[in-house]
Amino acid sequence: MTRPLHIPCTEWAEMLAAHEETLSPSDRAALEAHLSTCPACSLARTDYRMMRRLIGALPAPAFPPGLSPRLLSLWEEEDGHELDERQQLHSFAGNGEVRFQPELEDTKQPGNHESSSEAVLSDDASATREEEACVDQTLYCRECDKPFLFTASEEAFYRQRGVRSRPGRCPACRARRKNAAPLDDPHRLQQEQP
Amino acid sequence: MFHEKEKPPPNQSAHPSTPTSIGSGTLLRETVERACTKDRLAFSSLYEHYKDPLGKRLAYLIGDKDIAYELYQELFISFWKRLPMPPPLNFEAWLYRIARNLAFDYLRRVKRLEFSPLPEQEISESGASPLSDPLGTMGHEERVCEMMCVQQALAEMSPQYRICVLLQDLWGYSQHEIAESLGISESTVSANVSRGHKQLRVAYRNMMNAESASRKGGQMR
Repeated sequence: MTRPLHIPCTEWAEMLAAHEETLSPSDRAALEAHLSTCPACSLARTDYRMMRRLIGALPAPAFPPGLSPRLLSLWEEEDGHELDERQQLHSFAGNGEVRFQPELEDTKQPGNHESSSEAVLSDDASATREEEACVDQTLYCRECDKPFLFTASEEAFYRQRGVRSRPGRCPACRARRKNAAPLDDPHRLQQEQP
Repeated sequence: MFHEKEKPPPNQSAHPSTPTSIGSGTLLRETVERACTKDRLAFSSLYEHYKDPLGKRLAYLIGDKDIAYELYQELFISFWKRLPMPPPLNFEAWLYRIARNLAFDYLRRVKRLEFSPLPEQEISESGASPLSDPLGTMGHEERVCEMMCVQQALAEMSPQYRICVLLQDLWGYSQHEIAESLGISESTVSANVSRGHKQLRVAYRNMMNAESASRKGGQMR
């Protein structure tokens, strides 16, 4: 009875399906000798090699373009904290009066943060021009109505990611909203499942 | 792991980010060093750079593209929160190891056994990597069909075999490394890979035969 072509010899089947690099030199030599005389095993080896190549060449899934929204919101939060600390310092400057003087005391230069990696990342000259146009601004929070500083470097950072609108809330209100328990978050439900 | 509040993505379409080519040599090293000093642009560049290679490793190991995306984000958030100083010498191996551990944690927690192949349209749009066809003898449609068959064959494979096969053939780990990471013996890994390959081969052959038979039938009509 003839064996179907695609089934390799039983005694060589394990060795054929194993990764070639894991075989000892003597096993590999014995296998090569057998392959030269057995078309079924030879076809099996070709198939296994192709399988490995195909798995290695599987296409990448299309993840959403741009940066992770979770990472962006983490950075926004960090900026908020940083800004809060600076504002506190500004408020207590001078005669002990509680004042807000962002224009006078903020010494951070626009674009400083990003400049170190410009050589690596920036291939868009217009982005640099846009950064130059950014200036420190005092905005008013839509929730607590208090003034807060939106620095040029922050604006440049968000512009580079395509966000062109100004923040509506101050860092404190932003942080408060973010910390509110996201009860409707499907991931939270998923985590709480046993 | 998934408790952080999701925000709708900001309007990024006006400036679609393109993967920055930072290669694998000095430029990558410099970018890693900058990223580890809290340079956000360098960090963003790494995020883009590893989206495809690491995204696909996670997606096929987990068997679900959306969860893989969550894990990918989680990976970079943990990376940002604990920037290693000094940066690891072999950054890529370090990053892949953390990604693999995140995937294992997830698989252990949810005991996920299913595997959802990528939709045909997505494979077609990805260009169905010509790597699968080094001689360039196949058309785009054939390559897409072949990739669909491989994915289907992976979906039909026993999960414990699939994980070992993918860690070896897609992630590039040795059987010794796989045995250590999964906490099983090397001989079990070897047996799983071997059985997985056998299952994959049978499923793949059957599907390709069925596919070519249906094509011939279509041509005759």
